[in-house]
Amino acid sequence: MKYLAYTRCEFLRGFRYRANYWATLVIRSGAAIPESSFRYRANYWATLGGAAILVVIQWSLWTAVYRNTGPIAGISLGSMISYAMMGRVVSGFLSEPVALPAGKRIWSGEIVHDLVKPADLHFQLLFQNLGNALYKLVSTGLPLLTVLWSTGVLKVPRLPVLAVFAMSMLMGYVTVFSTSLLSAVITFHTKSRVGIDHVYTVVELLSGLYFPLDFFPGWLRRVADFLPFKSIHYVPLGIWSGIIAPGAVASSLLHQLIWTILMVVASRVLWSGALRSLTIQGG
Amino acid sequence: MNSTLMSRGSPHASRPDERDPVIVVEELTRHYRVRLDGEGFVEKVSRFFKPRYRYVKALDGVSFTIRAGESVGYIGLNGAGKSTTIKILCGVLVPTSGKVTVLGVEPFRHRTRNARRIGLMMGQRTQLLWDLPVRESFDLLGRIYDLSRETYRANRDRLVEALGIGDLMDTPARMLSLGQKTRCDLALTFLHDPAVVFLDEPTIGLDILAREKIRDFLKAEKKRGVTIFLASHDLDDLEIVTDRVMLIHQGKILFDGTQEELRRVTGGSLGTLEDTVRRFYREAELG
Repeated sequence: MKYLAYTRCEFLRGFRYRANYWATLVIRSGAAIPESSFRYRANYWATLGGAAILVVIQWSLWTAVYRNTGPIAGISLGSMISYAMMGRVVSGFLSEPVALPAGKRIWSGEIVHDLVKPADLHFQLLFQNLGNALYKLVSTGLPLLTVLWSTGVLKVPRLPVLAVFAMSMLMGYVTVFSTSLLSAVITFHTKSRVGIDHVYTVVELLSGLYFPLDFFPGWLRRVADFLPFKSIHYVPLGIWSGIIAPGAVASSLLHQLIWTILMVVASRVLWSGALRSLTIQGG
Repeated sequence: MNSTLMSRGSPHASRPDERDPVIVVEELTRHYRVRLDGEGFVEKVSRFFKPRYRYVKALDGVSFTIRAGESVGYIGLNGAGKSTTIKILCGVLVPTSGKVTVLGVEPFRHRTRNARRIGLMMGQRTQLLWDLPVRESFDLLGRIYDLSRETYRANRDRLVEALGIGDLMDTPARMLSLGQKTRCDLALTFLHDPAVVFLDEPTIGLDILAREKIRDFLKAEKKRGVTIFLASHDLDDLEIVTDRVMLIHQGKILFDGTQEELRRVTGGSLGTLEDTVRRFYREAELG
């Protein structure tokens, strides 16, 4: 699978800055350290710190909400904490790939280099971005998970559940990538991101990023259940936390699988169309 | 001299015109559509909904044949159509009309198949992975072009040696100087043993010593039988590296022949290629 080479490079790129910082420090101790190395490293700690703060906020919020009440919409405090905390752990992995450089590459003309490679451009982007998502998972998600697990806040489910969760999360990644690629194509046609950003907030709500879909009013729940976006957060986190009952896991996975395939096909068709018009009209 | 220029594809051929054609271009045109902006508020708004266009002929009936092992210099003023030609030959741009084949296939219909056998280097853009050590860029391309481990190592080591970039392999690309970056980019372009290489201003912005290294490298690659298509404003590059020159102006090929022929046409044998081309423009009243 040659495309994994793209994944590898993007994964390494994430770690590069930090490694580079130490290398610079050792090699030129005493000499001026490039400001950029500091910036990248600071960026890493800021990300981790920000994630930790969000974890504390979410934990306090849900504990307060549940203080004088039993299960809400059939969800116990334990499941809710598990959903919210794990949501923070995988949030980097499943976040909108802002690094999706398709739009930027088109305008800068760098896409010419990608196009003269014997490799499919759609897969180049998918696998390259996977590297970035994995970097976020390992660098921020993993330390967070370790702390939450060792302090007993988060319980890790049994191995079969874990395996199904991993599968579901991977499909969630493909869905969020395809959604972003679709919006990149729309950006390509409208030449502006205004509007898309607003739509994306709705997508995040419908994906279950902020809270499980069980809290939605009936009509909105039906809309969200139909749309592909619940595949991004709700299904994987629902499986992890047990909010999706064991009996409903199979149908949720099927929903994910069907939508994942549809989204990949749809984004691919529109992306190829945009690319064709680029090669016909000229960059 | 001809024997050293022998193409790899047809060892029996010794004269250039008997070798296999690598690039065939017939009556190639390429128009660009430019959207016209209206004058005044009402026209600007109405043209948003009902746009009007002006068509620019970037290429206007271009024809040429390049045979295996030839080295061709492509001369033209800014906007003459050089980059458009290269983009079409690489399959990145679709021609408006005309016929193009590179190694027997139409590049824009078989872009990835074409990509395996050609190399492209654009002096103004790097394909190095910006944050990673240079070595990673080589590894990535080795995988993308499906090179066997032996071929990959052999090609990489040969190019690293030829361009003197051994010390740079562990440096992140963003820390390289322009000259170092260009040499690394050049090595990446030749990594998969391309039969044809397109170079768009490879020496742009480089100092004299860096330019000399690159010319020496290209001369050596030419001897190995690689077909070279070199577009540059630095006519010294063309003079040293290429045997044949083509001069394009406003989308039309005005001259196609050897450097000696160009000197004869402009009526003088003295001076550099640059002087000759300058005189060509002056006499044709194009400048």
